[in-house]
Amino acid sequence: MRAADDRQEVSGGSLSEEIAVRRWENGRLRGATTSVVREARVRLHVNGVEWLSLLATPRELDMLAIGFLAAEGVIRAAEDARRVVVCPSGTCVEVWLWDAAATRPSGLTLTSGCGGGITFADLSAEQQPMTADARATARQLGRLMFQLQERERTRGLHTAALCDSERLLVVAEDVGRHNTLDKLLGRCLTEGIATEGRILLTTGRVSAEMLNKAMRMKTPIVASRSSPTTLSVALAEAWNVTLVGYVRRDSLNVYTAQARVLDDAEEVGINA
Amino acid sequence: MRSRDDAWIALDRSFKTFMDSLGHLTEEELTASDVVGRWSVKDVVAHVWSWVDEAVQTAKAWQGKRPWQEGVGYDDGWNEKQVQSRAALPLINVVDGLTGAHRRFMHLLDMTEDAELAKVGKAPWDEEMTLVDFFYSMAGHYQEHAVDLKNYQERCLECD
Repeated sequence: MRAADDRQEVSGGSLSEEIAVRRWENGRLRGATTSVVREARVRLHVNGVEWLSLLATPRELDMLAIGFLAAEGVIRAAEDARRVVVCPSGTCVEVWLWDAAATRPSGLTLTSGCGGGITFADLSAEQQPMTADARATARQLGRLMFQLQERERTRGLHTAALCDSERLLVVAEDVGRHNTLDKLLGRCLTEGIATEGRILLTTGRVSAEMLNKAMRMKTPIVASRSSPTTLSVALAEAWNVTLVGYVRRDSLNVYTAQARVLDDAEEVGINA
Repeated sequence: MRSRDDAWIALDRSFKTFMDSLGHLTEEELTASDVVGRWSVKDVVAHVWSWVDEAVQTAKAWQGKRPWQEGVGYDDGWNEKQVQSRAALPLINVVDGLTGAHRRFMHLLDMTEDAELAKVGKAPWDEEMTLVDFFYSMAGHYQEHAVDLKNYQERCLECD
């Protein structure tokens, strides 16, 4: 097996660009600059074959590719990829798998993400309920969400984080909320960070395919600054995932598997 | 005889070197003629693309009949004809064409059985070798032209 350095070409690139605008403020129009989030159509090639294209912030595309393939069940570990190459323009990422015969899963579904998320997963397929466990107090979730917002470097991007009850462990940003989870998973797989039993935070709406990605990561608590959907609530109930919405410093809603979110007075027992 | 992995790594690295050598050139420099012999950098990319295309077809029929190669010299005339057939394409399409051909070639290397890779056949230039060595030889072709481009790049930098 080759070393990770040989396998990966980590792509940099900024999250936003400075754009000249005319700004109206205090009754006057004047020239100004503002930062605008970068977005590009990114093609994913696997074993030399184009599988799909998706809209994404062209940064950490190697992580996005690894995470996407893992979330879709194509690979199980970062080492399953022999080489990941991000093209210099940031509009194409190539993954060469050790399994040269891997084929694109059928049943591609365009998801509801603003960034045009794509999944091959059949969400109606029966999943085993979540067995991994975690606990957090409502106050801890509020603090974590506050930390996540503090970390938001560019307005207009979705942000997601893998956390324990006290800290953000890994943070990812993208125009697409699905992509943030894929980037998180990609980074965790690449750097050997365990996701099981952790908390998943997102600034985006938790729809069914977001929950499906959380199931892959085995994160029993999924907390969002925004809302869940009716389907994600139903799936979270069936899969024993604690779904938390509208997380603020002083309020939140727990929709399903409510026992994992505790009052301040209760003891916290969560994987650190 | 080289291994599949030797060929894969050599092709992967030399292709990267070749593509990197395009990186610092402006569009004007990429299309200026008479920079590598009579060719432009774009022509060089088109030339390499034509060879990778030919290599894909050759590898697929390594021990079979290759009627399209009968009577073809694979000389300067053939090279010139291939470059001319791509001359009308925009630069981006030529680079895309090479990238796509490279991906097909790598995938073919991945998918070919070990026993097939060990079989001896003839390269288009009439040299006998195993199929895996034929794959490996194309890395040398990338490398050869990467050197041309690197030399041109250095000349461009000296002019700046």
